[in-house]
Amino acid sequence: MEQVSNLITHKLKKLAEAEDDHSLQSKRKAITTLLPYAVWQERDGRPEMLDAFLHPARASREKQLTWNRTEQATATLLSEGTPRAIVLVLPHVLWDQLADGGDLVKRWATAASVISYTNEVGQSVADMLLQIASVDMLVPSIPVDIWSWLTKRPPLPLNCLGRYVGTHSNVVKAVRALKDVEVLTSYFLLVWSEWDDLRDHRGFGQMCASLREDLSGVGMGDYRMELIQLLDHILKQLDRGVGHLKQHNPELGKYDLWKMKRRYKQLRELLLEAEKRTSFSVTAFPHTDSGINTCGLPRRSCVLLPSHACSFPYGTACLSRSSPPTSFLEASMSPCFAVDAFPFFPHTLATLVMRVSSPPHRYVTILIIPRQLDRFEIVISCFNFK
Amino acid sequence: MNAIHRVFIRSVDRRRFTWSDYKPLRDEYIVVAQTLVQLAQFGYQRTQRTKVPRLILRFALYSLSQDPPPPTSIIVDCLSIIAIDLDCDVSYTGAATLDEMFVLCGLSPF
Repeated sequence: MEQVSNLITHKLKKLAEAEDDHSLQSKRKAITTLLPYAVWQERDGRPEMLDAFLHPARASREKQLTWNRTEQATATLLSEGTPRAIVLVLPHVLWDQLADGGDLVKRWATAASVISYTNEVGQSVADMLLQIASVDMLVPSIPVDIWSWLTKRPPLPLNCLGRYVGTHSNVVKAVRALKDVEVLTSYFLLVWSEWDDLRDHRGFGQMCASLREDLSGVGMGDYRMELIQLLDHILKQLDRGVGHLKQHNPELGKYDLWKMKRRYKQLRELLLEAEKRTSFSVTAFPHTDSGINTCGLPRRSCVLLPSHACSFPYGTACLSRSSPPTSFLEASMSPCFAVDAFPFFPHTLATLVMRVSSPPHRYVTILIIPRQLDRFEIVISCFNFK
Repeated sequence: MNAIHRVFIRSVDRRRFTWSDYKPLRDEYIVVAQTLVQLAQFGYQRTQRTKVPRLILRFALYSLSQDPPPPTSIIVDCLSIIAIDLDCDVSYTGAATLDEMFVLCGLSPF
């Protein structure tokens, strides 16, 4: 047994290293046949065969090791596999052939919830999550908290199926429905790249709507900047031409490249527009009463929940959960509000002073005052400074 | 051998053939597994070292998916079938002659 097992593990490693996709695909049935045995072995504390299975599964340019006889192997994986086996293997097999998709999602989510995070695990969970979310009827079965795995931002392998189907409209809609800007931004950061052509036009439309509606507002500045930086990088890579991109997508043509560039440029423009709509010119402002003319202040306050946006005469306010400022200067220079400890004024979490572009010499102060757990009062005041 | 002959030759549609109803006694199971390794070896050579007949791979998948797993000798045979399809050098000591093989298999690699 050991001899033949060694032969197989050695061969699978060599197949993966050779990066010969034709050979890998022609052996996919044999590799899949091995899966139930690898699952049993891994459960008994011998992970070598499962790891050997994963080598070619990950190396293949095809998104999955497809064989229409794999239900049996997948069923064994789900019923007998360890959480590690389920999480790592499931993205690579034809799981959608199983009749009870809801049960599969439940088992997979349970496995993911008990496994320790590693890059490898993070990639697999994100890959599988996007695959599941692309199936409309399975979206309600996805536990909400598993979406937070995306915020760990594991770099998705170029050839994974989750990446391929992850830009479909079902997925964009599912992510938007969470109303969690961290997850939304992380999602875009995962699925946008020079290797992804955003070919699903409905998905692309949803993305555009999301940038306009979900990522507008002052408090979204950090998220927008992060996305703009990524889009700048992608556009730079796309400028390298078809030759560069063909290394991972041999079928890519000049027209495809042109379309990709157009889409990514459009996303960037939407973000820049949102930035323009909401940006103030920010300045450092010393905390002193001298020189501040407070007469005739329009003053307005409201209760704001994290990640909810509120409209004020000077723009849209929104709490950001991104890195809090550590000094007044930093807070003043930041285009977003902070909610973490910044005890500049007593009982105040954060203070921000911003100069309004027009009219001149007009400033806005924003105080964020905690009222209850997870609930803040935002006080915005406008005053003249001479 | 006769049992296997019946399975392969008389099966009406080998593409749709499934092993799921195959519940042999232990001794028969062992013999069938051993013979299928030989047939796999033969089928593989016959197709210029490209494919083991899919029917045989499906036998390996069926056997390895069973709970509890089959006896060790059958697992070894199933792994051998996989190894042959992966183009590993698996030594072959089957009793059947090549002539017998020709008679037994009207195998095609699908």
